Amino acid sequence: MAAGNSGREPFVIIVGDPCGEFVRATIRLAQQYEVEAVPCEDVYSAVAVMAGAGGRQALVVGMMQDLAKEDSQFFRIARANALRCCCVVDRGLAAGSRGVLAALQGGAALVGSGPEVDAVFTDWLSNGSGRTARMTLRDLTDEDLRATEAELSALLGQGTDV
Amino acid sequence: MDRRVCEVRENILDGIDAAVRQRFEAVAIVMEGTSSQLGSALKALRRSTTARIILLARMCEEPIARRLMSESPGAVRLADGYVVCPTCLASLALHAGVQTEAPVPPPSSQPGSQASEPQSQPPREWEERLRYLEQLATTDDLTGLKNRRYLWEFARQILDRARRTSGRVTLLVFDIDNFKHYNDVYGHLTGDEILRQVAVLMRRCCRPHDVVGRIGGDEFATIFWDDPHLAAAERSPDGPEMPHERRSAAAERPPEAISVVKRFQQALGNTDLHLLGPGGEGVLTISGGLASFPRDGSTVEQLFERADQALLDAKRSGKNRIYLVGEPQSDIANLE
Repeated sequence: MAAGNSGREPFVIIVGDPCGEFVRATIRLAQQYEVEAVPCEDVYSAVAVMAGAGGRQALVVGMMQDLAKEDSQFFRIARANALRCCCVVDRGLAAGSRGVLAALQGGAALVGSGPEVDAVFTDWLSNGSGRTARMTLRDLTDEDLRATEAELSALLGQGTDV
Repeated sequence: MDRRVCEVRENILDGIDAAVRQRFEAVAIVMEGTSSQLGSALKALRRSTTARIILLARMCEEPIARRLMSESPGAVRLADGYVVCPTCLASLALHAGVQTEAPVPPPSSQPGSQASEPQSQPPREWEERLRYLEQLATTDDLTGLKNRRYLWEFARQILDRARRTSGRVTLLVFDIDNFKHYNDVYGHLTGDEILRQVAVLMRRCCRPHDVVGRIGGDEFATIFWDDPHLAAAERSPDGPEMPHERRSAAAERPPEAISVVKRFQQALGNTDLHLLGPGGEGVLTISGGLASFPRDGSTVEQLFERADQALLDAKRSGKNRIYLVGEPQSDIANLE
C-alpha cells in the first residue's frame, strides 16, 4: 500500500472511519493546503502506509480512540519513523490515561477538536514537513516580483527593459 | 553478511511495519494475544505485502483460523494457511529447524541499520515440517482422529476460555459395545477397521468445530463447544433471553451435543459392517457419558472422570445408551 505517486512530497495519513465527518473534514483541510491525503481505516493500515512511504514525511491525524488501539504502540512506531502525529482527544478522556501518556511520549500534538487540527497542520507544513512554504502574491517583495518577471521573460525568450 | 532466517516481533503493529519494509516471503502471526481486530490487521497486511500469511493458532482458535483463510465471494482471503501449535512457537520452530532471533529493537534505537536479508530456508519447506510435527504430536495414527494428548490440551484451553466468556463445553466419552468380542472373533485387523469406521462416522456427524479423538483402545471422546463467532452470527438481537430463575435442569442440558450424539447412534445403526458377516447391519452400538462445564465439573480431570463414570453406569445398565452426568438413568434416547 504505497502512498500516492507524489515522489518526496509530504503527505497526511488520516486514521478513522473513511465515511466519518472527521476524516472527510481532514481530507478537505489537506486539499486546501495542496497536500496528498491518504485515509486509513485503522492503525494497521496506517502502519502499513507509514512503512511503505520510503522516508517521505507524513503527518498522522486521528482520534485518540483510533490511534491508541493495540496498547498505544502506534505512537512509538510513528516516532521511530520520525513522523509527526496529531491526535484529537475527547474532552471526557482522563488526562493521565495510557493513550494520552503514550501519545505525549511519542511526541504527538494533542488537540481538543477537529478544527484545531488546522493549527498543527500549518505548523507541520512550515516547520516539520520538509516542504518549502508556499507563498501567496502578497508575501512577495517588489524585488521578488521583478526577479520573477525577469525569469518569465527569459523563459519566453523575450528581452527585458529593466 | 548477517543472514536472518526468521525475525520475531512482539506485537502486530511492529509485525506489519517489518513485513512491509523487508518484504518477507511469509509472515506468521501468533493468534494468541492478538486483539479482536485480527481481521483488520490481516487486511492491512494483505493489501500492503505479497507475503504468504500463516496463522499460528492455539487449538481452540483453529475454527477462527480456518474461517480467516476461507474464501468467500467478494471478500479477501485474509490468510493463506494456519498451523495449530500445541506447544509454544519457539520450541516448535526450533524442532522444525527454523532459527529464530530475539525481538529486534525498534528502528529508532538502531540508527543506520539496514534490513538484513530475510530467510535462507524456504518458508514452505519449514511450514511442511511444522505440519508434520504437529500431526505426529496430535493425531491418532490408526483413525486419523485427534489423540489423547490433543484432547486433553484442547479441553484445558477451551475450559480456560469458557471460564472467561461464560461459554459451555460438553464432553462425551464413549466406547464400542462388545468390542473385545469382535476383536477376538474376527481378528485385530477387523477390530482396527471397526475403529476406523466409527471414527469416520462420528466425525461426519459432528459440527466442524467439535473435536473428536480416540483416547485409547475402543474408547473415544468428543468435545462440543460454543464457537463465539458462530454464536454471534446466529444470535438474534431481539431473541428472548430466558430468565435465569426459570432455567430448569432440562434447559441446562447441552442440546447440540445431544442431537449430534443421537445422530451418530442412528448413523451407526444404519451402517452395514460387511466385516462382521451377513448380519453386520446395525449390530454396532455404543455406550457413553456426557458431562458439561460448568454444570458437572470445572476442570478437565473432573469432566473426564464424571463422563467416564456415566459411561460405566451405561454399561452396567445394559449398554447401547448415553447417560447424562447428574441425571441418573437418563439415556438421551428418551429425551425430547
